[in-house]
Amino acid sequence: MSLAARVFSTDHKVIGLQFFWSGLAMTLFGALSAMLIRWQLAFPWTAMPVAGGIVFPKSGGVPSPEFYSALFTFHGTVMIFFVVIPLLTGWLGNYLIPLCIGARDMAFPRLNMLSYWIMPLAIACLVTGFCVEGGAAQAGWTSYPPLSTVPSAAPGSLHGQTWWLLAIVLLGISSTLGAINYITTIVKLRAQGLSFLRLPLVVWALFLSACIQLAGLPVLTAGGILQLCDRVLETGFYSANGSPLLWQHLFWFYGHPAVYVVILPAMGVVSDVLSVHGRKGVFGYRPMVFSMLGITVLGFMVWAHHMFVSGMNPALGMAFGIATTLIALPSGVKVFNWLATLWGARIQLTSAMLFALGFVALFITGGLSGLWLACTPVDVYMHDTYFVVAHFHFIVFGGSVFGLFAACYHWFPKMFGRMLDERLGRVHFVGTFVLTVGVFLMMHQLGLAGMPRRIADPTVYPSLRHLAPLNVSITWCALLLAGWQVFFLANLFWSLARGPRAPRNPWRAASLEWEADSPPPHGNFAVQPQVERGPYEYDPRQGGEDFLPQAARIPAP
Amino acid sequence: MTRALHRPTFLVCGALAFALTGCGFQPAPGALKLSLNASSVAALSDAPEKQKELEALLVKYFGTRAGPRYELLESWKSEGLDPNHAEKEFTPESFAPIVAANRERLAYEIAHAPGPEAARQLENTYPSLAESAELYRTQCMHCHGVEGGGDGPTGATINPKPRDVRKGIFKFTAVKDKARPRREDLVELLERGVYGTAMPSFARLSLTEREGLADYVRLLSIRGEVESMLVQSWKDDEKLDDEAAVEAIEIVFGRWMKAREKVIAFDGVVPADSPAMRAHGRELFLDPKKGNCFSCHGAEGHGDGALAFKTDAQGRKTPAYHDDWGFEILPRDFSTGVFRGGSRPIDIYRRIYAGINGTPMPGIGETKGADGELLMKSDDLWSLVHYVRSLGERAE
Amino acid sequence: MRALVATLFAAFALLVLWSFVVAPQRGWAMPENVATLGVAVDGLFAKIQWVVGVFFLLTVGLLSWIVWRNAQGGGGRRSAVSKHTKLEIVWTIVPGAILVWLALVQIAPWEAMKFSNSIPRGADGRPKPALCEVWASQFDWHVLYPGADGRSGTGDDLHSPYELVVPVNEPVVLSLHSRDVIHSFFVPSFRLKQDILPGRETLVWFECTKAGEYDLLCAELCGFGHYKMAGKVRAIPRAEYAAFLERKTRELHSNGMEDRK
Repeated sequence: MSLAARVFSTDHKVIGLQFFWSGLAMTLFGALSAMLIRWQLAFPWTAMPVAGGIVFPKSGGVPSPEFYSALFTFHGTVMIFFVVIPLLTGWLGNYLIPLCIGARDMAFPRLNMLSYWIMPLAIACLVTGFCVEGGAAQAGWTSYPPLSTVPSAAPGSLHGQTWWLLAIVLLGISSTLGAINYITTIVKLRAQGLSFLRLPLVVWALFLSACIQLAGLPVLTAGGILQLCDRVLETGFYSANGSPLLWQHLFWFYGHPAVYVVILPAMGVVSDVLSVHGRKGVFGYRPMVFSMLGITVLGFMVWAHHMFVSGMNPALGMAFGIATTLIALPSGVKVFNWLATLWGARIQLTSAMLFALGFVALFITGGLSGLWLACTPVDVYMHDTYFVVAHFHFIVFGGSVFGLFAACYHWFPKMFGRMLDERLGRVHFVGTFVLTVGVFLMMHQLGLAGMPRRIADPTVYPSLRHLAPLNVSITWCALLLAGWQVFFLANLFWSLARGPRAPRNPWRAASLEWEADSPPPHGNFAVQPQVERGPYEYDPRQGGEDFLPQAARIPAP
Repeated sequence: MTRALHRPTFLVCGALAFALTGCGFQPAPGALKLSLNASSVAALSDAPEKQKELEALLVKYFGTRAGPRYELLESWKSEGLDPNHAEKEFTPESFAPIVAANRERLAYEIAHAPGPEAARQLENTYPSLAESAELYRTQCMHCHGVEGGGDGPTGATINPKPRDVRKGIFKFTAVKDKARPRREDLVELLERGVYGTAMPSFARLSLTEREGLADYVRLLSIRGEVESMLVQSWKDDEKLDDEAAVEAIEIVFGRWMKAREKVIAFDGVVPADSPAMRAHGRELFLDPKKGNCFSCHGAEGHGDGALAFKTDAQGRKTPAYHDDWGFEILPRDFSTGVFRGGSRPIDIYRRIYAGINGTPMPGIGETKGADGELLMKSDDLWSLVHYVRSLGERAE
Repeated sequence: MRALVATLFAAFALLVLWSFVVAPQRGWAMPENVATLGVAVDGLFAKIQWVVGVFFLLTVGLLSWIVWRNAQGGGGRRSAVSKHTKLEIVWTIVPGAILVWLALVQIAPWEAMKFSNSIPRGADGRPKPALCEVWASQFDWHVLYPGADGRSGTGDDLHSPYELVVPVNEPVVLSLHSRDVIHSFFVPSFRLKQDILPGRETLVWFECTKAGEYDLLCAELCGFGHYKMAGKVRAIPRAEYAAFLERKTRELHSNGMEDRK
């Protein structure tokens, strides 16, 4: 097979792993920017490691305030658009969907390949922003105009912001193509006997998040094109004489459901992992499906809770406040069902299970902190403070990233044909869990004390100066947390090269992907499986053969 | 992974994990030094060893970035001396009354402080130059640059550019004849900010912090002027030594000492605004022989007068004037109601009386007509003031 | 491993509890509320804290217990039950009811803070005029008190960069404006925050109940100077407020020579 055919492969597994590797690479940059942000917050106006010497030699390595703005803009953009969404939808979605439904590949393999290769273009656009006059985009990943549209409002709004918008528009196209593929594949290519209510929850989650992407991305893309027009063609959609709020509505109409795209697949992974490694069926399969459906639908009705104090009509604030308070319900139901799944289960504390358990604990925390934010009068205080930062990091890091780790430990054997080292995995989990709490827990208190987001130096305000020790301890935990991932990376690369070969079904799991070899060949299954039952037929009361695979057994000839 | 490899792997990973947290980091700014002006470097490009000599002289007489000091005034500074209060020549005998005047002023500020908290802040001692240098580094350097050259990283893309203090030219002062500002002018500007630009109000700093910053900015300004004088001295007479440095410092310092003499003094009550004053002001505004303001500022004060722009060969309009720092400058548009140097009547009076140092805005407070008499009487000036202020009023 | 993990989750739950309980005495909580409209905010915060606290300790505690009992060596009873409709109904209805209650109790305080018919009214029943205009720009706060003519934007305005002085114990209406991009007027001690859109007037209102000085922060990214867009709100008795206005008026008409020799 030629190099071109390998690189531009249309096999969903190759594409999935391409998303995996580029997602992993972008994580390093997103994490680096986070470390630099934390450095400035703990030690304002000191020499910034790594970046200071390169970008600010004349200032003794001390960053400028607009560089700090570029850092957090880059951090948010990379982590959401180039790490979690590509990893959850691009890596897991691409890899697992055909395998879990017993198909040979996606419905549109070439479209699939195209949707991956748009990503490097988008990355190139983002990076170009750092090389133009004025530097990279500095208006936050939310890019509110007029800060983002008026060239004199910020150095990054000279040219960098245009490159940022191009990157976002390209990503929108890539994800939309992916969503079309996933939905079509799941609807049309399921194996015989595989009804919707026999799908593993991870497939349901990927299906629903693809629906969200399909419905929401066109709005973001349109809004982004309008902003490009304002910047390049000097139209006035978002100007002071137009409506800056229009951008906020268009952005958050996608931006809020996007966070459900970020959490649903992780929830699906956790359901699967808790079940397989607990040897017990997921509790309340149908309520779990309905909860995810509820999250998907309600997720499109709450976007303006990001805008309670924006100056929009407060009657809207009231309506969205009520809807937002109610959307806690389906997530809460899922938490109870996970706990009930674990009740009476035969829990094996594998690395995958550990991260799934960690997900549950941290997602509960992040979700509950959202109750304060959903209450509009309280959100008046909390909006744009570190309380919000704590809330979403518990969910995106404690939730989605822990879910991604669980997925990696669980499906690595299938994807790479080797086993990851369990002991390294356990050490990885314990340190990551403790340090995640160390980094993000006290951010609730920072926000309660009134510390706003996106400020380069909190010590300007007399009422925030006493928070300096908290900021320092958070920074040390963050640096250690980043360093701790060495355990994961060492495990990953060592096991890829020298890990023990993985059997076809090391976890003795029931769903269809484990019918294929580890790793599956091109075409996945020698014979297309026929499905006889649901995906969670486990019995923790038994030892030995305690599960029934989803696929029918073909009698030996 | 085999069990045998576990232990070394954990050790290596653990070490890496902790190493990445950088136990060796000392959170501090990196090496920062006061460099030479780019124009000095260019002028001395044929004599690189002279660049080093110049730098050494500046370090000797003005200290380093972290340890700024006036070599010549070292003993005087520790007495809390403010040379701006000197009325005559500097002599050791003139210290005592100067120091007393300095302390008296502090007592006045304390008595007039807006609240007990502010009074308490004032009672702290003045920050040292080194403390002010550190405050400058964290608050001002990113726009105004290490040497006060307006060349900090943030300054590159903002308009108007941050001030380059190395020429000793300050726009919004209470002095005339293009003199150096009073210390109070700098302190008040820090409190007020330059409204309408990226220079914010620093009222959140205490009065003594602002005074310390003013002292440090003055040091940077004097150092900058001395530097260009020394470069000139080398080019003219090939002199670049202690003697030339002391001579330059005395000249430049003398300029700052004269601020007291150059204050635009207006005794008495500021005349009240009235429709009659505004009408008279408008006449003067439009009279080519009197105010002649419209020629630059336009008939309605929108900054679009005939002299404001020049037309190039392609018929495009570009600003006709440049300021003393080499940047394009347009006459002020009064209809915005934003006055960068302060919007009180006395502030506008000072701009009209003495002009704005560093810009083409001329002062007409002491201009004499063909008959040898003052062109503008006091009431004329105040009429102009009230008229110009009225241009910025919002309609009902 | 079982013991470690169960302890980890239990310790986590206790740490979270501790961080919220000790927060007030360490300055990790909201500063003292000094505004009338803030009382309801603090009340809602406390109610939600109870709900969140109970559910948090319950669920994470349960998680820790389950790991302890059901991981290898725990001796817990195994069960294959994965369906229980009655339980599903209970844990949907009960939290649902609590959420509906939370959704309803927030309505009245929100209306009082933001709805335009909640603006404080003068003795004649008409909305109180704004005490002053607050102009947010890149990067500071500039307050314009109307002078003798009662209108802001005229020559007799009293300018106050950085400091907003208001009378205590009476309703105050402020007219907020932005010169350029979106800023946000945030006074933590008043539980007050409002984004300021350029090109229009935004009204806020409050009644401060305690004289003192309170931080004013910008709470919407507005450029490189967002972090230093600090201001100060000083609440003083009405009598002193009149003296403050007189002092500003004298400053306006100053000849620049008073204290200088």
